[in-house]
Amino acid sequence: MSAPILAIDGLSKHFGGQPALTAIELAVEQGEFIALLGPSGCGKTTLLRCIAGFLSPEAGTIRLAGEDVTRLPPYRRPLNTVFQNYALFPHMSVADNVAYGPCRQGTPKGQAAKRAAEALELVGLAGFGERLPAQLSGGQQQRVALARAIVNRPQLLLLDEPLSALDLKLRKKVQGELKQIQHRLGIAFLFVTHDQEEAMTMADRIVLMNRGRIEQIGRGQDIYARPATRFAADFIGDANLLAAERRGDGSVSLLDGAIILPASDEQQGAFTGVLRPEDILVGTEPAAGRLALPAVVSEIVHVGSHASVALTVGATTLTARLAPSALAGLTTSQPVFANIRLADLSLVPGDA
Amino acid sequence: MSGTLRPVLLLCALPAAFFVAFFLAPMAVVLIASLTTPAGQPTFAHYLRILADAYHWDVLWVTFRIGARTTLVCVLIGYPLAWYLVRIVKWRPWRRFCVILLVVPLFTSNIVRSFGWMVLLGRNGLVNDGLIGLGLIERPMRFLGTELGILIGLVYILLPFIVLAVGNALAKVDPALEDASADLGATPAGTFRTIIFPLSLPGLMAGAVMVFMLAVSAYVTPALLSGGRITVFSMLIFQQYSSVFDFNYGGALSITMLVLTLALVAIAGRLSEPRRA
Repeated sequence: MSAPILAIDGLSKHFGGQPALTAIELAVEQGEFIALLGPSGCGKTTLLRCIAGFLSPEAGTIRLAGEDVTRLPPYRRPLNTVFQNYALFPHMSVADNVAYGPCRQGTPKGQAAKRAAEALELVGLAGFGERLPAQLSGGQQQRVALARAIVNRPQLLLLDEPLSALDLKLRKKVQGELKQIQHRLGIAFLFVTHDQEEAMTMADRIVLMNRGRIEQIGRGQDIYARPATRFAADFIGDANLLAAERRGDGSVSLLDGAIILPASDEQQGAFTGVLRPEDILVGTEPAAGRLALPAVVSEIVHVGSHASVALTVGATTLTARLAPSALAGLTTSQPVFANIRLADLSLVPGDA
Repeated sequence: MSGTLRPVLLLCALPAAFFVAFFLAPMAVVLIASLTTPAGQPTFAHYLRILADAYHWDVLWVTFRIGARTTLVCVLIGYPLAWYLVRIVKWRPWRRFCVILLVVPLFTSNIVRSFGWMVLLGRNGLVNDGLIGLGLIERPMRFLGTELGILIGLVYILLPFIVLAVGNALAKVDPALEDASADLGATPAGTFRTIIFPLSLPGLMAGAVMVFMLAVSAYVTPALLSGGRITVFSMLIFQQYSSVFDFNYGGALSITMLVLTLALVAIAGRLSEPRRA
């Protein structure tokens, strides 16, 4: 495999003594679609701005296609950005906006206009070149921003929450289009988002960030199935987080001893058990091959495609996700069994 | 008339009445006076007299030359100053202090400030002393009674207008646009030329038009700093109204001045109109 298009090594950034990014390590391969996912304030946008060159890190290096660009100004970095609110130049026509990149790089005017027209066609805005950005809808402005950013054919495209200003329906549509365009151009996308569903559906790999650190890097389904940290378990999908205790013999006790996991040397210090709501089978009888925990139904919430059932197990409340058909006969205050498989239970470091 | 419409109309009538009473009516009085004889007969004689008189053309030329130069110098000093205040000063108290420093002189009388410049620009004034002290000149320069003196006074008085107008325009330019420009490969100079300057141009034009209008219609500053050696158009108008008591001729002079100023401003506005695709 060729060298990664983007390689970040030991990157740290502070804002007035407050760490914003700590020891970031990240490698993006050519043509990859990476989502930088995390809650607001986790440092994902700071990381993006460091890569683009708008912020300079205190420590670490950023390499683009093998070249160290850590100290280069933004206009010397061979990458482009789609900004959150598009940042279209309001005094220029759509065509001039898109041709801006080639023109700045010394491409002759005619050729720049031709490439701008091609880029606009690619995003489905052929014929809109003469308009001003203010005369376009939000979705169209978003496409112009994309066309402007890909017209130079960068090897890496940074996208800073580009869909956050669009309404839900349009967002879904643009998500698909973005993915298609990325596939066609073979450009690596680094996509900042706080929406885990967006990250899951679009990205080849998710870089999950929290408090300026990378919590986990991996495919969405892998992070979901095997979260590396308590934060990862909680942020991607829904999870029951169970306080875990190590006992004298090295085995692990959860739910006040209702679940005992055999001794393992892997986990040190405090940790937490993670159980996905859909992995809990609720029934009036113990299910075969599962560990049956006596429980009481405390609440049933219908969410349409499924129902969320709150179960009281000892002093803990578990949430189970059931298909509407599995709800038949279930009422609140009813004693039931929460049937789980120990294989579905994962342990992550940190307190519950 | 419906019940809800009446209060709306009344609310609109108030500013309209104010506008008519304080803007339209005086203008109409001056315009009518300029087109009539003292006896009240309609005539173009006043305008013909102005057009035929070379002296008036000379004074107009001097007035507009001073106005244009004042505007130019205000733009050249005011734009960087506004840039400094908006873009470079990061510490808010210092920025606030600078803006106050800029605006406070507007609260004092023009006469006081122009007198100040008379003292500073005199033969033995601070400016000449300073220039001689620095060895830049050997004998005192004459500022009073020269166009340079008037220019200095007008620039000082009108500079705040352009700084505020440009500063306001610069502050409104979204910083993300600069990021986008740099991201697309533009150097800081390129970004200024293609993005920031064009976007601040409306503010710059507004400020320049304001300065130009105030400069060509200024009376106090030129009158005090001219030392009687230079005449600008507003002095001619003042003479007609205060000494000659020829309100009709004075009115014609006022209207001529107004029309020429507006024409110049309109031409300048047309020339600087941003290119629209």
